[in-house]
Amino acid sequence: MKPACGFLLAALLLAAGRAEAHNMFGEGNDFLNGLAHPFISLPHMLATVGLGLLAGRHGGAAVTRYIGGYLGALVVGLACATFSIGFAAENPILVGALLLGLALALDRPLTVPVLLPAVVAIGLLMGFDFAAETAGSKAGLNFGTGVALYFLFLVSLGFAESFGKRDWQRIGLRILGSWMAASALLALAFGIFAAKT
Amino acid sequence: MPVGKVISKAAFILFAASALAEAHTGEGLAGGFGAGILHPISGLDHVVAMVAVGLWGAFLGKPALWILPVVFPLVMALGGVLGVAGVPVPAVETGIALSGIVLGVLVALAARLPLAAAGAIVAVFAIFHGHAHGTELPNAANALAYSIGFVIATGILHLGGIAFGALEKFPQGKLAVRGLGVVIALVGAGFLFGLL
Repeated sequence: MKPACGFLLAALLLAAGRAEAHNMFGEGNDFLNGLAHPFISLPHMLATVGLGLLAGRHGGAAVTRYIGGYLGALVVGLACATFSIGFAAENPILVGALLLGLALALDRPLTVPVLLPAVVAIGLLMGFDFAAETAGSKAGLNFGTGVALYFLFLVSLGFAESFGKRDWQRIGLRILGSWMAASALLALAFGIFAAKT
Repeated sequence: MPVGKVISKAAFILFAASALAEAHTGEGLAGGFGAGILHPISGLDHVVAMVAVGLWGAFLGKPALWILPVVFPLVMALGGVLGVAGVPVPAVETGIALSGIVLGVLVALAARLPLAAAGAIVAVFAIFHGHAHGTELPNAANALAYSIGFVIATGILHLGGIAFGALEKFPQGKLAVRGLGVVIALVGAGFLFGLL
């Protein structure tokens, strides 16, 4: 099951290459379009995967709190998005992805008081950002997005839990964390400095 | 093979193939990712230096084996930030060429330096490589997709160097690794003197 988790995660990540429009499945297929959304919004995908990997790597006995916390935050955030309550949160999400990647790279255990607020914050930001991305968003679209984001979180968490047992596996997660942090840092820089030119 | 594994592997292959098939568009997510993946591997000067980092890490052994591939992308990203921000870094192309020469020579001579020194050398060169990537972002590309692409490509080159460096365990392998170090240094010199 462990290698299958890894392949599934990689397949989902690479699926971003296929999803090039907000309405991949055409008008009227809100739920399916919502399912596809995290795979066309790379900052959302990066932060969610980072969060899942970190929670899986260091969660331990508290992992159920992270699973519940992320679900609750997503529900609240996306509910707000349904009523167009939100703001453009791509940069905060990228900052989150950067910090999550660094935490993975450093491989330092994170306590519940540190990780749980991060889980909740990222979940809320996802929802608020979605409101800004799709003004007048519909319940079906948001529900699909929530399902996809939560699924991505759970797959990443499961992958890290099962994959982080041996030395070389933990090293692999650290390398992945550094890649995530580096990508997020560069994207932030592109977004900030390119916007000024 | 369990059904779950078959499905996951098939999904991986299908999605990877589709992502690669669209890499030529140059725009959007796929184009950005494709452009990012291609950038480090389309420049021989980048390729030899990235492979040399992996080779040298493999030669130095743990913890350099994994510290260098963890630190390099992060410092490279800092260099990229400088490039995007328009902060000039002097003699970037010279620095990139020198990275090939210096790292190649270190591998060829089987130089064992303290971890801090090895990390510092690699970090300095990472700035030059990152700056070059940062200034060369294609206009139409999705920035995050491009970043992910070239970070992944860089990491894969490191891993290639580490895999080749594993040959150090064998007597003939030692020769092969040092020989590759010589080749890398020569390629770096070729770029430095404008021959490549």
